[in-house]
Amino acid sequence: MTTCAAFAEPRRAVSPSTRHGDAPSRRQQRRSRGPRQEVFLRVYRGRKKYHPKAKFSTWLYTIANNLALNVLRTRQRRPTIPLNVRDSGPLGPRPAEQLVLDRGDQPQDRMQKQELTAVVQQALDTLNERQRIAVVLNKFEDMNYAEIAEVMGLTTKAVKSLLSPAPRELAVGTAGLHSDG
Amino acid sequence: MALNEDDKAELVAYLDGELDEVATQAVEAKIASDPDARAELDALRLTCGMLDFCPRRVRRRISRTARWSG
Repeated sequence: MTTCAAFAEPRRAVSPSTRHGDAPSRRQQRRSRGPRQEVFLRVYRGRKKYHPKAKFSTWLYTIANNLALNVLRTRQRRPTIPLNVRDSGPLGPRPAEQLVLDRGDQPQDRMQKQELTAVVQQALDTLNERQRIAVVLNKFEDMNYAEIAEVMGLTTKAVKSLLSPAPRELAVGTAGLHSDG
Repeated sequence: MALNEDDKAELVAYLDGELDEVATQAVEAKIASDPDARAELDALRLTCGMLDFCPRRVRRRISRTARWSG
């Protein structure tokens, strides 16, 4: 498997052809979240190493590439077999089965979620109010441009213009965190 | 070739699955022939991916605060 292949799942998951079509399975989606979130956490943690002279995307890809290699090495060293926890019947999962389900959210996962929340919130704060609302409606409430236009009283074209610079400004917002220390 | 604002808006809309068939094909042709467009798309994917792959609880928390603040 190549380095790029480690990120093939997440890329497919956000590509237009799969968002409304042959969506990846839930397990694929869960597996693909980890590396992406980890990339952004590493970006945040490594913010002091970022030099504005270097192209941000190059620096970002270096981190993603290194992480992809780590993920592949780890998967090869510690192959895991997912437990299929099934409902035990009308009474629901047994306590031991529920424990397996609950363990999906380990302390490390919770810490990562907290860090991720902080990074995303700070990046969102770099947007103006209208952009922020449009991004939240689009990314977190899964509204399409037409729905956002209706909610915000704008044309679809205006929503497109509003959302167009948002990812770049979010990237800059994250890069801004890099120099805050 | 340097991308203008319209090109960038098309790339974002492409990632969001908001383009019709004709526009989608135009963007895909651009990506195939223009390394700058490809690099921009990849950078956008990473940033959008950060938001798309936020855990549901994180999304709810941010959604609550971001929608009604500012």
